[in-house]
Amino acid sequence: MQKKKQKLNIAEGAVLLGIVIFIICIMSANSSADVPISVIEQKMTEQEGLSDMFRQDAASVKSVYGIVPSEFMYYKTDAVMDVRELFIARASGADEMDAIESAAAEHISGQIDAFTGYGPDQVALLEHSVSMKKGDYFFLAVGDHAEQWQEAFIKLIG
Amino acid sequence: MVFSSLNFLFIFLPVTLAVYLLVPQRLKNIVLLIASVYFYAWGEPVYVVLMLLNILFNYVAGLQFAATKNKRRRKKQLILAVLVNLLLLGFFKYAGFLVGTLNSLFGWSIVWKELSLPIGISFYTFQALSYVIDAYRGKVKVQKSFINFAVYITMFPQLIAGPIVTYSEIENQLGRRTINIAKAGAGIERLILGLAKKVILANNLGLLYTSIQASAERSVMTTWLGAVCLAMQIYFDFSGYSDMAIGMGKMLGFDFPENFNFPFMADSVTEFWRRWHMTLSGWFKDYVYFPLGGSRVSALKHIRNTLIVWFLTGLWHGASWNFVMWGLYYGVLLIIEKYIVLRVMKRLPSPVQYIYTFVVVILGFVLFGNTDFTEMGKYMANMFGGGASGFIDGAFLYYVKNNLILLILSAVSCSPIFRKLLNKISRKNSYAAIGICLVLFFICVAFLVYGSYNPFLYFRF
Repeated sequence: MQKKKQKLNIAEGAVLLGIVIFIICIMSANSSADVPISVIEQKMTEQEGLSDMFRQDAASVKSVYGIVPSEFMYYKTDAVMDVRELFIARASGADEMDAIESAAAEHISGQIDAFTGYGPDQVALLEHSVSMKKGDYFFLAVGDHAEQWQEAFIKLIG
Repeated sequence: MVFSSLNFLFIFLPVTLAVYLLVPQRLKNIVLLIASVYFYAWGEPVYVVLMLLNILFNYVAGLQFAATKNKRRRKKQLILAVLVNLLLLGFFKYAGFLVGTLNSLFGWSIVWKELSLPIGISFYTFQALSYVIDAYRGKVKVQKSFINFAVYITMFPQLIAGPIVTYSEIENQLGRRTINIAKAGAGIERLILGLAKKVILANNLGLLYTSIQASAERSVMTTWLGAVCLAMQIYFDFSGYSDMAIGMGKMLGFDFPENFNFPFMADSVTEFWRRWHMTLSGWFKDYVYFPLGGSRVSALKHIRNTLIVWFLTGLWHGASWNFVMWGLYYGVLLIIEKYIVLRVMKRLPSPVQYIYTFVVVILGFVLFGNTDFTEMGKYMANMFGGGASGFIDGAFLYYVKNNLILLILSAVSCSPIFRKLLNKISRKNSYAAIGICLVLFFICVAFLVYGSYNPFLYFRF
């Protein structure tokens, strides 16, 4: 009986150690600072190349991406032939993150299809679009300054 | 993977059911465990490790209770098990919220690396807690089989959004359960009804609410329409998911507890909470409210107990102050009803009771649905005329006209009329009932193929 108790104590300790190691690993691998979207938006709009783009509301995000993330900032121009945009979303869980990622991928491929054949500049910009996810955040940028925006975004969320 | 996805409905579920039904009884739990872990790993490939470690820890904690009769040791073990479970939940769900609150209260600037929330952690933590607490109390036997215990925590129908099944409710079914055609048939019917609630009603009500919420200007009536849509969206979303979980449970031979009982038919807030998310209320009653003394204490202590439970209920729903406010809002309302209003209300005509409950509950959902306090304040002000563009406008008539069928269907589905009708048809002519379910299923599939708006609101909890 005593041996059994000892074994159980060792097993319990090992599992607890496993949990601690798991938490350390996950924190170092996939994390981001907790920065509200409003703060990100304020900092990002100071970036070059965003001054002629307009803030879009939930209805616009819905019509472009087919989803409305829990938190987001979305900027684009009103011109039909202008494909530049900046979309940053914060997901409330892995499932929402998956939905945002696939919606963004679908949107970009749809845009490429739409401009292929008559908008080579637009297609080039779309093909060089920058997207990434870090922690709860998803980032998508299309435009000449896309990489610069991405760098600024990474600096913000750590 | 969500229940209302084509992958789940046409690949995962049929394959799992076929294998599960074909294998002998002794292998059924192994099949169910593998399928459930795969189901979870589809959306959470990393957090599946956390869930498995959590299961292992609680399994060993149970064995510790069986290994000793020493009261002190058992109590220490219980405290450890409860602490580890709550710390894990707190770390992943509330740490960022706590740091944010401390930062804004004291002007600190603690940097917190936010992690994504493991899906279903609130549900499976509560299930694990029900096991360790009941094993400590001696209410249930310690589960010796790791497979059976892992099946209890991971069962895919209720893993990520409930209902919260306590161990005592399912203890006997884990070892052996009956699967027959009648039960499977009832399960399929329940699954389809739940799917229809989710896909046909909740998703479309959600679109309507999003559209109203995004409007720059709203009249009073439009704002109320939006709030009603939000309330019904949350109801059909969550109760639809619960129906699907209960239905799939039946197909696998399980009997899960009911989670909703037509809450919008309630004539008081007290009654509403006897009908809404019943498994969560039951959990808090058994593991928090009763241990605190419940209602068999002085009025002051009862008020304290009620507020503690409702503070925790709010917090359980999300790491945000609007959820805490929502919980306390109901706590205060329930106290007022118990000590003052209910006695008076019971003498009033029933339409007055229904209207009071409806208004109060709809306001509650506005608190629940808005994490942004500025937006919430603006929306609430609009509901009572503040900043609204008049009492009624063209937008209201446009929304009602274009969504009339949806709104009527939703309102009727809040009552037991459809269920009673289907039961009646089923008793008279089972083929007709099968036909209705098939038609509903095809309509759902059509919505899934052509629609893109398909979130599950309760996944975030």
